[in-house]
Amino acid sequence: MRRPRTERAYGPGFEKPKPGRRRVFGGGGDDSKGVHEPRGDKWALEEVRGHLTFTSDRIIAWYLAEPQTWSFRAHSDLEALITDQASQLADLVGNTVHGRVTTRPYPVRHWAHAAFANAPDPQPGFEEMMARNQAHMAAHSQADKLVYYGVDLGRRDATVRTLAKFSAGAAEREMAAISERLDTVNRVMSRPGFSARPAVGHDMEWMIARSLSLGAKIPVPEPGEAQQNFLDTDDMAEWFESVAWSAEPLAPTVQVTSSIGGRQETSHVCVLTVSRIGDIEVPETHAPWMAKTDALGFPVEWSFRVEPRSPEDVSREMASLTRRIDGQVSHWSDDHGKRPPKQLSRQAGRAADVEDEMRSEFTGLSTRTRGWYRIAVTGRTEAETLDKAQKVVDLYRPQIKITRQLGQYHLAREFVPGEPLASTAHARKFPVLKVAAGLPAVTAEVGDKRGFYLGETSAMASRAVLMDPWYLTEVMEQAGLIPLVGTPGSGKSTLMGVVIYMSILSGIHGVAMDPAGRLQRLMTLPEIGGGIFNGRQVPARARSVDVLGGRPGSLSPYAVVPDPNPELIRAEAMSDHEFAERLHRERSAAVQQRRDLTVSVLRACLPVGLANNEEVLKRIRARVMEAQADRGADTSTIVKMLFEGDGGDQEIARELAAARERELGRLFFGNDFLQSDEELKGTPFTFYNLKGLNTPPEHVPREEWSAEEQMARPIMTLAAWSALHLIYRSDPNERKLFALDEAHEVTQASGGTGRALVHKLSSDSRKNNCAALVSTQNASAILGSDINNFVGAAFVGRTQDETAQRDALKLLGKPEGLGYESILARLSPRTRRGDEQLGYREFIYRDGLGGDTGHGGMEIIKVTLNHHPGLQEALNTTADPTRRVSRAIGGDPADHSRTELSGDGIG
Amino acid sequence: MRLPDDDELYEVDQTYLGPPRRYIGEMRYRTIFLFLVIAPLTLVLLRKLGMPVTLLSMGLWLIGASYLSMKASDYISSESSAGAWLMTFWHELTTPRVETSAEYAGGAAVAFRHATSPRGGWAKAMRRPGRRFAQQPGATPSTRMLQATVVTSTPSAQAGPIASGSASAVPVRGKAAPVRPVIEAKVVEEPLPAHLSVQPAAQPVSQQHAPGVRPAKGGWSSRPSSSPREPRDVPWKGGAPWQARQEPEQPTSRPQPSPEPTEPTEPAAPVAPPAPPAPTAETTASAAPPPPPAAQPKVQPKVQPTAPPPPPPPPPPPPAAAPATQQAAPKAAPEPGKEPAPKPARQPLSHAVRPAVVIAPEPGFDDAEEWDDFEDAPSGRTRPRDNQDERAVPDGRPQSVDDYRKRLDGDDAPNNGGTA
Repeated sequence: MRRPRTERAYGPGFEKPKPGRRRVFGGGGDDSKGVHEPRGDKWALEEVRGHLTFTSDRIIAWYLAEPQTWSFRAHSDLEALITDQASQLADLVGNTVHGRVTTRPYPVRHWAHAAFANAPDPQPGFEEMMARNQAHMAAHSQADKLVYYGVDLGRRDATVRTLAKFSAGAAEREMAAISERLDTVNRVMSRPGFSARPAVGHDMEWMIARSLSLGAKIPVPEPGEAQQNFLDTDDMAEWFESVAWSAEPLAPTVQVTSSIGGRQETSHVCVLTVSRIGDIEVPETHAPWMAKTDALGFPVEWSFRVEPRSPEDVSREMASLTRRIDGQVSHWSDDHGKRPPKQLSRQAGRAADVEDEMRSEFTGLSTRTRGWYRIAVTGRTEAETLDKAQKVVDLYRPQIKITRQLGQYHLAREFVPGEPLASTAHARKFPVLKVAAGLPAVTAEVGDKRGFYLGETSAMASRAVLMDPWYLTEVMEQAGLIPLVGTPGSGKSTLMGVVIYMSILSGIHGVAMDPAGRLQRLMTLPEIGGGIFNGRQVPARARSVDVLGGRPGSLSPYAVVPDPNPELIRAEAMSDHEFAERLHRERSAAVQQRRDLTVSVLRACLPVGLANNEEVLKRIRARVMEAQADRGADTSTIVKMLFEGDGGDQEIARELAAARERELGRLFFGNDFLQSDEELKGTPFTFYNLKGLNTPPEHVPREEWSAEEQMARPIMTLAAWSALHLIYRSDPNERKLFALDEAHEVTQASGGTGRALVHKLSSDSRKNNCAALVSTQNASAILGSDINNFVGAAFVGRTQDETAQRDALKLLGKPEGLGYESILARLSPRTRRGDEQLGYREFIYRDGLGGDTGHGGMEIIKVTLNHHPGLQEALNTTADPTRRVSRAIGGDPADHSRTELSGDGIG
Repeated sequence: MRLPDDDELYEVDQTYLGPPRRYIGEMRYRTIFLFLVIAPLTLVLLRKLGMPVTLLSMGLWLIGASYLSMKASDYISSESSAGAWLMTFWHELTTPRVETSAEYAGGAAVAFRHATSPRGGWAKAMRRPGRRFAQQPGATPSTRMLQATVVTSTPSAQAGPIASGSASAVPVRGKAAPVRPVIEAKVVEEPLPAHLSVQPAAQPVSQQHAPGVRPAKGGWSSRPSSSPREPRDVPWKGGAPWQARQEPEQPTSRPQPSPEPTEPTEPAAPVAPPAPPAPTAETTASAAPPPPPAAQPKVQPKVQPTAPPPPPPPPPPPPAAAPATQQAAPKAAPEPGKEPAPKPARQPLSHAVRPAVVIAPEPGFDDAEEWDDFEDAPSGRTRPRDNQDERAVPDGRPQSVDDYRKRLDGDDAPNNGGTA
């Protein structure tokens, strides 16, 4: 049995000697065994009042900077931002400016609450989907970056301290001076640039907690939690007692043990110091050098202190340096007749420039600073921490040199507010512009706070991207049209499928049209198509309509154009007279729309030669105008009227009668809308399946189109109109989703009617609270409809064609020729030798949520479905030879392979 | 926006090419400054370590100091000044360490100890075989050599109270140091031969010290040191052979050895000199727990008055005739029928294995009673002599330069390196 340590050390019955005065080299205690009392960490921070922290001799005012966006901003904007911050720093000459950059874990729980509240009617499967999303978000380091600036209000020297003890007047004068200084600093920090506000309450507590418990997981305060603006010595002692810092001699890391919420957690912290920085060009070539760490996959902490120096001070130093340089030059050339090193002449020139700037410059932008910039990397083990530290070093290579100094413990202490500078080594002498170009507050922000979780940003930082498509119509009062643009394989159909899936589960009504028939594969999921889900039977939330296999007349051009919704018009009309007038107008428009569609459809049913004949078109239009054009009208009536006409009419009628007998043509003739409406009642979501439609090639002349190819685009147009009708049927206040995949098939092929459809979607989406997702390969399909002003949000995937890139940039509101084209081409990059499928897709997401330009935030986002394996499987459209039907049927795969090769197999 | 900075401006590499028209190569100013600091320091250090002043040694010192200066100046730059390095060094020393227990706190002391001390402390390290001062004859017994702290591996050794003074009951305090297997194998089973009880006629001067005064540690700087070239006592070789050869040269008129150092470890000695309180206390301590360490200072003052020479030249080992009487007494002392104290299972001290490896019996290491006088308390510090100028010589007179020269010239020292 192991004896107590005291007994082992001193023998039985012995008491532990009381430690004497502790000396550095082991003088404490009664003998030299090295028995000492545990030495706690002594911290300088004594008190917190509001946004002020007090140490024994210093007061620091802390501010929380406003996050700034960086991506896709004009260079002039970014330069103005840097200049503003530099100007503010220059105004703080004489004050040491502290900086602390930390992160707050993304409040996944808060988002989940908001998302649940936002879902109109959560369906079975919604909770499971949210759980998967939350787990994924928590596992990824998505954190809000918080940038604190602390301005040292000066040192309280011993004289003042002593005087204040005896004279109340001295104390009052001191306080008056401090508050005057504080007002000035408050004013400077709130100006554009930093746009900082005092850090109080939770913000201050978070900074102290993160600093004392570097690397530990700290619970995020609830939004409604009580805040404490004053922390006295006892409060601070509680903080300090909960942590223990230690380090081994010459160790590369510091161990920080924190006791949080009854559990103890030890993290290893490695502090890196920014050493030399080469010539960088911000924003043209390089990103803000302090914000670069956001691109790492893990959060890091920054601590820096900057001392803006007065011009006189710098001038004196330059004079001294110049003397040293001149002395060296003279020693080399005069004393020894040798050519001095080139560096000396370069340094002499630089010193002269700086000295000249100090004399002539008056804007403050040439202010020189002296600063120390540290990065703290944390990990659970020392090896993990050092691995992360190496990643930081690699990230900054080669322009910026990052070093790891000795004395890690004291360097790490610098991260705690109020602690003194640990080492004067690696002091950086930057102009104030270079400090400002660090822009630590730059981050990536896009999307809202309540929507569906789509993925994370991938350019500057890794933050969650949430999108509520109805945020645009309900909050921002914008159009709900959301184009998805990209080349085939860029992931736009998958992204559309994700939004549809989440919308269905949250109880949204809507319609989806997919010419490729891929979106309806969502029906294979039990939570969508019905079946046993989680051990219980759930009803189907969607249904699929096979357009091509429909009954005759199911795509009648008369039926697909809905009558105007009187309720909607009444809601917008100011008076009964206006209501009647607008209702009449809308009905006339609907009638005319039906007639146009009918002409277009009948023309498509004719051979190319007849269809291009002006006389034929005139005859058809005349008959269509004569016929009735309500929703119950029948296209066969036109054929009948043509048969009753002269020889020319009869020739047209014979062609149309022949078309009526074709498989696709029969969809136009007859009217089946009442039955269709009845069938679609009670199903929240409908997939229109256009699979099997042979769309004509884009560049093949119309004369060479087959009969089926001629039918394809009218069918699509009519189907789109038919789908739109479902939208207009329901309550205008209800959230609705309209998804149109491969919209260019509609807009380009069907000419004016297709564009009219998209236009109607964009213009009516806000009034009908409808989010319209329209995917297309080329943004010109959207832009051609002249509806760019109606576009709320937009997603642009990989685009490699130059024309498509120009159109995509126009959609995003970005100028051409500034390098954005290459960004579009580099989205979703693949390695040349990678033999696996890319597990994600990248898009440029413009959220449309306000901002200076109205386009809102814009970031590159990464959409991944790894955490939704079922959904990923359902939406995966990539061919897989191992899952071909021949294998599923059974038999010897080798035999099937042989038959396929011979061309006789079933493929 | 191009953003240059001023960092290069501060890297004015000041170099010195020598006086005008006397080019002596490029030397950085900071290297010269460092040489001016490092060279005297290293010279003093080396002289304290006993480096002779010869052309070769001075040359080597000059080269070494220059090399050190150049290396150090490589680390010192405009990026990291000498002050920053010193501050970093201080921070490394004062950093709190990981607390392994409530009693064992971190801090600079532990940091320094970790960096400088062997595991288990200096005392334990010195007891390891192959170390100098593995056993110190004539040392004052530590009152902390408690029964409870003895580490033995055989039940017999743990069964009864340890008979202090027995060679087989050398206690080890704290965790046992790693011991070479050969030591354990031989010592347990082989009792020391009886004829090995012959006392050495003389002890080397370097191992003589007053009671309560610990000898210096090893190393070049430990006094009494004859010369760095001179081979030291080599306990694992059975001690320095010249010590035995000094025996005939030891003046017979040396003062009689004081029995005090051995008495506390002789509980069974029936005939005791004027009984000092300490031996009594120690005798009783074999049955009862000994007093706390605070009692230790009390022992020594009471012992010292019994020593014949008031100035504390440490009691030299007994002359050749003395061991016979001294050994006879303990042998006659044990009560009839009482078995001798069991031998410990493990003897971490090198003397215990000596019979197995030493060819000829070496006087001076067989007086097992004296071995227990070694102050076993781990200290880590070297206690200096009370009077550094008074060297313990056999005749009691202060050591003279002639004595030093004699040993240096090999008059009384062997020149075979102590390996015979």
